[in-house]
Order: sequence, then C-alpha cells, then structure tokens
Amino acid sequence: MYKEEVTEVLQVGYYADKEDWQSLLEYVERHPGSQHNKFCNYDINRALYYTGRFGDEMFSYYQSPPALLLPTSLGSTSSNDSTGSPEVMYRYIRKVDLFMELGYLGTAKRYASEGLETGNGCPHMTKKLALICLAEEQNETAKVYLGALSKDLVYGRFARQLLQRLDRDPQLTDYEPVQRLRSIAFKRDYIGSYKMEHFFSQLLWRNPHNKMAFEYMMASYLLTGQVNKIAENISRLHEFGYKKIPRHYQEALLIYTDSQPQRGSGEKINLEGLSVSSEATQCYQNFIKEAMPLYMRKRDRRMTRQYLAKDFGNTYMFYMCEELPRFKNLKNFQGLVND
Amino acid sequence: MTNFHRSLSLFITASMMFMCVSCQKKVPLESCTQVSRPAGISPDYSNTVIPPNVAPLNFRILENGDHFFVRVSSSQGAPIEVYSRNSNIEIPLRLWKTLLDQNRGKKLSFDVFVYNAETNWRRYQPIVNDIAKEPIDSYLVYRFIRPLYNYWNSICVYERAIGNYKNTLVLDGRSFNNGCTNCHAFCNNSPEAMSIATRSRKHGNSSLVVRDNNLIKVPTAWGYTAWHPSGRMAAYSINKVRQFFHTIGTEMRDVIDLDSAISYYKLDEKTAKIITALSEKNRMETYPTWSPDGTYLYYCSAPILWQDRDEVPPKDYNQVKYDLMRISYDLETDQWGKAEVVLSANETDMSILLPRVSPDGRFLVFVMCDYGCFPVYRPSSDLYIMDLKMRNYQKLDTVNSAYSESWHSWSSNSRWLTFSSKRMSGLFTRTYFTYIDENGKASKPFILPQKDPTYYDSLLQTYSVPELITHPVMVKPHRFARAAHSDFKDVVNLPVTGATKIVPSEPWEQQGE
Repeated sequence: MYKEEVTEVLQVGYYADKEDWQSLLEYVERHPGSQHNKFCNYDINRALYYTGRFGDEMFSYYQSPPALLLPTSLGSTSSNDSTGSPEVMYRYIRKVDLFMELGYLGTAKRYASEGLETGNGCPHMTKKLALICLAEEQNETAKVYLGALSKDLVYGRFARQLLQRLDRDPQLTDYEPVQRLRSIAFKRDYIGSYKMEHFFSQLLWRNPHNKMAFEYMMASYLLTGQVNKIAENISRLHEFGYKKIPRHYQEALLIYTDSQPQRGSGEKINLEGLSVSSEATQCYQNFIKEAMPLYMRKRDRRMTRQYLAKDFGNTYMFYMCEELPRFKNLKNFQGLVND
Repeated sequence: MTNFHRSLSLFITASMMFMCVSCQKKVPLESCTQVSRPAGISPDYSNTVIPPNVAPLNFRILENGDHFFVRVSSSQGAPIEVYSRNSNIEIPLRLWKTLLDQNRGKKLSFDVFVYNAETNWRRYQPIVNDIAKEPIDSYLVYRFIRPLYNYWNSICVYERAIGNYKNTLVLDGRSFNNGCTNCHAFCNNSPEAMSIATRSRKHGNSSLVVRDNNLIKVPTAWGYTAWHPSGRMAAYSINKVRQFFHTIGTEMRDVIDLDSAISYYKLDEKTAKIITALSEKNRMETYPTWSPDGTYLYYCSAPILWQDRDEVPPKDYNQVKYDLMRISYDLETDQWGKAEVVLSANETDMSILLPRVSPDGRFLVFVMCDYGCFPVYRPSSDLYIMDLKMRNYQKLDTVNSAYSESWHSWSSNSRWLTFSSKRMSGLFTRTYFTYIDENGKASKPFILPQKDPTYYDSLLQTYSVPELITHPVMVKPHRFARAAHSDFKDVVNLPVTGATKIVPSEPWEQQGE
C-alpha cells in the first residue's frame, strides 16, 4: 500500500472504532479513492448499515464482494513463519468488530486472540476479548483480560470500573454492551468453513430479529448477483420493520422479474404490502433503454462504462453489468466464513 | 564513597526504617476480635502440602481492611511477621527458607489479622498447611505463550527456580525468525540429556539435543519425546497434527492427529529408526514414555477411523479414543517386543493420554478425556493414577477440577507431580503442584507461587508443559539459538519405510499449547 492509502485506511479505521459513522462517510466523500481499498470498503459498509443506508446506498460506493466480511485467507501472505503480513493481521483486527456486531462471538474471539498475539498485547483487542468473555458468561477469563487492561494508560479506567461492576453484579444485568451481545449471540457449535449464505442463515435462525445479519445477507446476495435470493427473502422485510423496500433491493427485484422466462412472473413475489416505487421502475427502464443498445452494438467497453456511470453509477444495474463480471472468484468468496 | 556520603546514606536508611516502623499499626494480638473462619486468600494456599524448598507462598488477603498483618509460624524457629497497608502479603525469602527447613514434616500456619476503622483488628482462624519432608526438584521448565490460534509473536521456553522467583530464558522462538519452540524433554529429570524441538520455515524443523554438554541439531522435529533412562536413545512421536475451531465454549480450539507414529533416535549411532509395531498403517501411536528401568515403552494408540487422511476435521474425529499400551525393549540388542494393552479405551470409554511413570516405577499418571489426543483443549481432561504393581487405577479426585488438567510430570524423588490446569480462569493454563504419598494419594494442589500475589490476575500468557529438573539447564539461550540457525551438522538416516509418512509441518499446523 502507498503511504496515502495507509493513511486513509487508518483514518477510516479510526472513525469506525469510534463508531463515528457520519464522519467516516464524510471522510470517504473527501477521499473518494479510499473506497477502493478493501478495508475502507469494509468499514464503509458498516457505516452505511449503522446510518440506515446500506440497502439504499451501498452501490454509491465502490463494492468488492470479498470486502464484505474480509476473508482472512484470501490473498494472504506471510512475512515470516508466524506473525503473518501486517495486512493479514490488520484483517483479523478489523474483523473482530463486525463479527461481534453480528453475534458470532466465538469467531470474533478467535480473531481478537490473533490480533492480541500478533499485535503483542494490543489493548484494543484485550478489551474486545473481555467483552466477548463477559457476554459468554466466562467471567473468570474476562477478569484476566480486564486485569491486564487495567494497567493500560488508555483503557485502564474502563477496565477497573468494569471489574468493580462485575464484583457488584456478576451478571452485568444493567451493562448494555454485554447485554446486547448476549441477546444476539450465536450459541451453536459449528466446525469448519461454510458458505456465507449458511453463515447468515444460521445467525438468523438463532435470532430472527438480527437485522444486521439480514442486511448483510441481502448485501451478499446483491454482491454475488443472486437476485433470486433477494426475491425469496424480500417478504422478511416486515419482520425488521421496514417502511419501504430499500432501493437496491427494488432494483434487484426488477432485474429478477425481467429475467424470468415469462415476464410478469415477478409480480407473484410476496412484498408484504410494500411496493417497488415508480422512481425505481423508471430508473430501471431508463437503464435498459440506454444500456441495451450500447451492449448490443458492442461499443468500446470503457466508453460504455463511462457513459453509463454518469447517470447509473450508483445503481445495482450498473454493478451487475459493469462490476460483477470482474470478480471471478465469487465461489471462493461464498465459502470463506470461519476460515 | 566519601564519609559525608556514607553518613548521608546511613541517615536516609535509618530515617526510612524509623518511618516504616512508626507507620505500622500496632497489632493487639491477644485482644482482637476472633473470626470463626479462616481469611480468604488468593491464590489458595490452604490445607495443602508444600515442599520444604518452595519459594514463599505470597498471597493476597480477600478481606476488607486498611491494615493487614500475617504471622507465619511452625513448631520450630521464630515466626515471620509481615505487616502490610495493602492486602498483598510478601514473605521475606530468607526467613521463609529457614522456617521451612527447620520444620520439615510439620505444620505451617498463617495467622491473618485485618484492621479496619469499623471493626478494629480481627483475627481469623489460622490457615494451616503441611510441610513435606521430601523436597521438590529445584527447577521447572515450561513453555510461556499466549493462547494461540494460527499465528504467534513469541513462543518461549523458560526455567523457573522453585526456591525463589528467578526466571531464566532457555530459548526464545524470536531468536530464530519467530520459529516455534516446543516439546522440551529431559532424561531422568536432568538437563544433562535434554531436547527441544524447533520448527522454522527458514531454518527447518529440527531438534536441539544436549548430551554430555554437547549440543547438536538433529534434522527432525521430535514430537512428544521420551528419553531412555540410559540417555543413549530417545523415543519420539511424529504427528500429522491439525488444528480446527469450535464456535462456542471457553476453549474453542481443538487438535486432531490425522496420523502419527513413534520413532526413536540412537544418539551414539546418530540414526533415527522407526518401530514397526508403533507405525501401524491403521493406527496412531503417540505420547511415548519409558519405565524407569528402560525395559518398557508406554504409549497411547488409537485406530484411525477415517478414510480421508487430509480432511480437517476428519469424520468421527470426536469418536477417537486412545488405548494405553506398552512394548518391551532391549537396549543392548536394540530389539522391540510385542505391544500389549495396559488399559483399553473400551474399558474406560475415554481417551487415555499422556502416560508418565514415576521414577520409582510404582505409579503411572495419565490423563483421560472425552475424545482425541490433545487434553489441554478438552475441559473433560482429568488426571488418573495407576498402581503399576496392582494394575488398578483411580481418578485423582483431590487434584482435578471442572476444567482441563494435563501436561503432568514427576519430580525425581517420585513425591511431587506438577501439572497444567485451567481451573483458575478456564482458558489460561497455570502450573500446579501436588504431593503424592507412597500410597498414591494426592494432596490438594497449589499454584506455582509468584513474588507478586496478583501476578496471575492479569497474566495473558499460559504456563504450559511443566517439567521438573534437578539442576539448571547448562546451555545458554544464545547457544540454542545459534544451533537452531545452523546448518545440520549431524545428518541422520531417517528410514522412509515406515507405514506412517513423515509429514513436514507448517506454521498453521502447530499445536497451540
């Protein structure tokens, strides 16, 4: 990575760690090149989720399917026997938060342990490990992590206060961060790697109200071009309290409906009272009108792309036609969770 | 030093002593309120048996107070009095040593007094321990690492003096490109013949072997190693180890051997040999250990339940259970006898692992867990003792906990057993000791004492594979490191005719602890 890229990655990571999602997105607006970096891409998606814009705006930013969950083994290289390259290590550290937020605590704990070891006692990872152990009611293990953290200049106060709190209330009944993790924690033993779809469905099986898992599952379908899966799952929107269908889901539904051998079969999709908006339909029709002749005439690809990007660069149609074909290893991407 | 400086330093010292004495609160030993229970202390050093040569058992008093006072006493000699304004009690080393030495085989009491403004001084019931007559070996060699998954930053082997708190580095993996260092083994509890296995992508997999003050690098990483009591050969396992992960639990790591066999290395001939009976195609053999007379090699063996020898984890990985076996051996003729079952997994319905025979040949301590070959990752792992005369065995109830107990080793006098346990926090292994009497009865275990009684409360590293030795390792860390760096000086003939393929290891295949 170039120096500027490293700066961008660290700056975006900094905002993500602070959960300052608005500043993160503003920073990316000011540094549009940063979104091509997988780490930034990964945190942009988190920011979009937390600002309620994931399903509407994810294709307003560059998207690379592997960046959704940052598989650790994809393109990993070891600088020496044991510690891995800094990039691999940074992946582990970045992945911890998302896996915690999704409720996949066991794997988050593993990633945090990797980060702790290779980061030579990184206090940020120690804090994460303490919280995960508390959520899993492994208080004695958590106390050791907190004991170590209590000596840290930055996190020491947090750790000491939490230790005192733990003495007063071992269940931490009023401690929201731990209670939230407990409420979404995936509690089934599973061994080995598995497909991303299976990963999300397991999380939703454990907790049908895990909205983040739902949105990330839908994002994974969008990123891999599985519009049929978007159609299959669209009826679940009401379970999560959506008032309208997010824009990219609408676009995917329009593609799906259009791709059916018998046009109009898409109308059978159960939208649970929601509807595809006239704006989305109009945009889709405009895209077809503009793009199809260009593709049919097999004009210069670069020119076509530039032309379409002007009006449709932030649409799912554009991603499907222009970006998706460039990702050749989607099969790997779909099978790399828990790697 | 000038007279002025000398006088100044004397004055400062005297002033400090005066301040210390004057700030101590006078303890009314006879008139304080009696509490009808012993004070809570951490670590738990109560109702146990301790070696007469162990370092002071410093502890923290788990009672609310502003001033603390402890009187350590026994039948002979003056009691040791320790006053503290915080709850940490650090006992002076020299006084402690004298007291223990004078009172071998007798009781040792901790009288705990706690003061706070509300209740004034309170005196708790004494905490009583037994001082054994028999000492423990003076040094403990252990592996010091964080709980590892795929990557590591530092893997070190240290030597700890049991009689004080001195830690000495034996080998640091960082001294040979962050290599992995593990499986340290000693002959008859002595570092005069010892080995450490190293794995390094850059410098190769090897064993650093010390014998007669010579250090050689053997181009095979010895797995679990057992030195023949003669010191002329060592048996070791070759394991195709794979790690995989669970998604829940305090311990999410798991390890399986896809295949394994036992070989041996003859030091005089500089030759590695495969034991045909212990390289069976459809079985895995591991954890060799010698009887003290060197006529039997005990080991563990399990059938391979899977067809695919590369799948991780293999099918039915959680059905693998190891038998305890032994095979006779004649060192002079280099002849192996017929393998025989000592204790069958069918009988116990558990996996039998890590056999270690006491140096007097009387007992064999082993681990049993629900399945597999790596007890430190199985919370069900417990220690058992077998009377080799009677061939009966029993669980060491006083020693075991709800968490994993494993990696045990005997002292040279057969009275002390050290082992790893996760009882304190579920994840971090710590080293414990227990006294085993002549009938095989174990005392309540106690943790390796540290100068700072709160040391373990914030320690993110594990103490693993504790081995007791009688005197310190003579080879310095830089010599080990240089040997690990070096080209192979002793190229050995490693037969490849064994049924079990010798598999090169990769970093992600290493065992965590």
